[in-house]
Amino acid sequence: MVGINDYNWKGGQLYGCVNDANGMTDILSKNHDKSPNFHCRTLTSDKDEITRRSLRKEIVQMFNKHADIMLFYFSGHGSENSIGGMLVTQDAKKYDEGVALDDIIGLANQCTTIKEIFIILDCCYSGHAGNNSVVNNNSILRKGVSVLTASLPNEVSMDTGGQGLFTKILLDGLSGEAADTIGLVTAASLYNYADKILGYWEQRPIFKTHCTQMTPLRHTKPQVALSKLYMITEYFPAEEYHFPLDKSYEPTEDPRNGTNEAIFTDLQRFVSASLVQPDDEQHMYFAAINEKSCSLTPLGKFYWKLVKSGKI
Amino acid sequence: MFNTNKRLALLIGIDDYGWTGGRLYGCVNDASQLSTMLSSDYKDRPNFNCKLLTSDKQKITRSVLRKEIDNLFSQEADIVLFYFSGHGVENKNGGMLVTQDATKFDEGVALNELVNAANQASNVKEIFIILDCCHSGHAGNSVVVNHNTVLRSGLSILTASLPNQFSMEVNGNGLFTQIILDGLNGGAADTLGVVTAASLYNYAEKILDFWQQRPVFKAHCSEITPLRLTRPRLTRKELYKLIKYFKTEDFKYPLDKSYEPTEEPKSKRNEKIFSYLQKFTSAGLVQPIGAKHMYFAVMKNKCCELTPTGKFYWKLVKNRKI
Repeated sequence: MVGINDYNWKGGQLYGCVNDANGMTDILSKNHDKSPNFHCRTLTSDKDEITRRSLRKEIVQMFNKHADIMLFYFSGHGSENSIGGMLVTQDAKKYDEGVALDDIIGLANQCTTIKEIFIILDCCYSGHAGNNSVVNNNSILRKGVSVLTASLPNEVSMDTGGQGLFTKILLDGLSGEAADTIGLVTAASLYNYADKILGYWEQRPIFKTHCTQMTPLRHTKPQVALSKLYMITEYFPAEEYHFPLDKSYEPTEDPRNGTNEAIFTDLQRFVSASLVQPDDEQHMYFAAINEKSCSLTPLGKFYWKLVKSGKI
Repeated sequence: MFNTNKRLALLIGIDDYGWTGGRLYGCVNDASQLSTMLSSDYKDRPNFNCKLLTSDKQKITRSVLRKEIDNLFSQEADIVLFYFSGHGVENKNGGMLVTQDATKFDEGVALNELVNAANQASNVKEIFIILDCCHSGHAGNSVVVNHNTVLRSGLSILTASLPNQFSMEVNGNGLFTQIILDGLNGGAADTLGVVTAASLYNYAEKILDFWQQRPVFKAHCSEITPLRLTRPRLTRKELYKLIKYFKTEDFKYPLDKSYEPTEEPKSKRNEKIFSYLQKFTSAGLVQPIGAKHMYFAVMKNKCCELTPTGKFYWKLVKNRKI
């Protein structure tokens, strides 16, 4: 995680980038249950001098590691020239602004010791990342590399209230707003989230990927705990099963039945996660009172299949 | 809903092969069913303008397939989707879509040709290539850049398997296409019912396990475009009530017995609000605080609040992004 506020360069001082890098470190270090997630190394311009040389060194060393997942995040100035984009370092001079995005992507594409690489950039012109002038500025990515950038190649990225606009959105997404039913946030769900939050008049984020799986970037609070989710195949022996309800399931009605009431609590949990819906009634309460049934939604069938086949 | 003159899909399915790979059984079904699925949304409103070519109706040779690909990528369109179900082979240069006139060393159309045509299609904003054939994972990879992927902005590729893998057929469909169909039918949809290439891949990737074929996703995009609309959990109109009841993202909405229709005191207005709040709860956007159900929240004078997903949609509504 790299954040640079202090620049003498013509682009001027920035205010949100150190906060950005620290915020990303905080959120990515731990999952919602405080279990460790990423082991983060954070470099910020209030504590470290981040020069072209030191940033290059960090990047080279990073891609020499043996790891399942490597994530590189940069918040600071970006610049572009006719060859592509650059991450601007503190010792930037005209025609020598910092580290070329081409160099970073080149190293990522050649890295054979890391299975998956995520590059997240909140800086101006960051959309160049991955694009290559040799192939008509199309992007070149090896398998396992994903790039999320704050803006198009020719666009500036905004700073709002002491935080990059893009990073602010990423933090909200990673805290759970971009999560699926079981609380997983992935690069694609994060991009989908940012794409929706940012309009077309603001900066336009970019997503580039070449992947063979959707790797979670963070676990957030699931809408349904896994232990509860596993019950879905108990209650629904088949995908198309209609679970018959009656008054014994509803705690406010007679006859009372503790077992059924407990099942009903689980079913209502599934309803509130959009996995189950009452048949021919608006609410589960009425489905129980009127002796109707409930069934799996399309999303519910998805998780039913995953549980049934032991994939989660 | 969508202007189908601007959303074009070409779907190809080949079962009949004289080639060494032998006859296939699910590919005509695959292409036909996907064509039906993509043609309209859940309300039968037009979605894609589909052109379906299947081997039971016409002979799909190398020159036919080339002509169709060339024609497809010459169109002026917002979105172009190319789908192929049939045999695939690989050689040192990458993968190939096998056509009906395949001979050894001349099996069909190279994936390189297909992706190059897509990369150069300057009149098309977004392109989706979906391949259910063996070795389809080669699509987009180039030997020139060490088998890395070369993609123009706006191009996404979904393939049934890794470059060196076979793709399976089950019960009269390609396994991958069967999953894609389920996803497009709503399994891969978000709260508003939107299915996208990324959500479809996420769906397929989760359903397929690591002992089976592994699907591949390659994308270079500046927006997430809907591939199909399915039944939304909430209508747009209902969703707009979010900002009416929750003045801020973190607002805690206080409840009491007047919200619950079965309890005294009665309040028509509050009962109506409660029916919306319960809809939001069922869609995972609102949750009771300190009570298991909204019913108990009401009985115990507790509050309800937005879930993380609820905050996401609250922001979209607040800023009129949906």
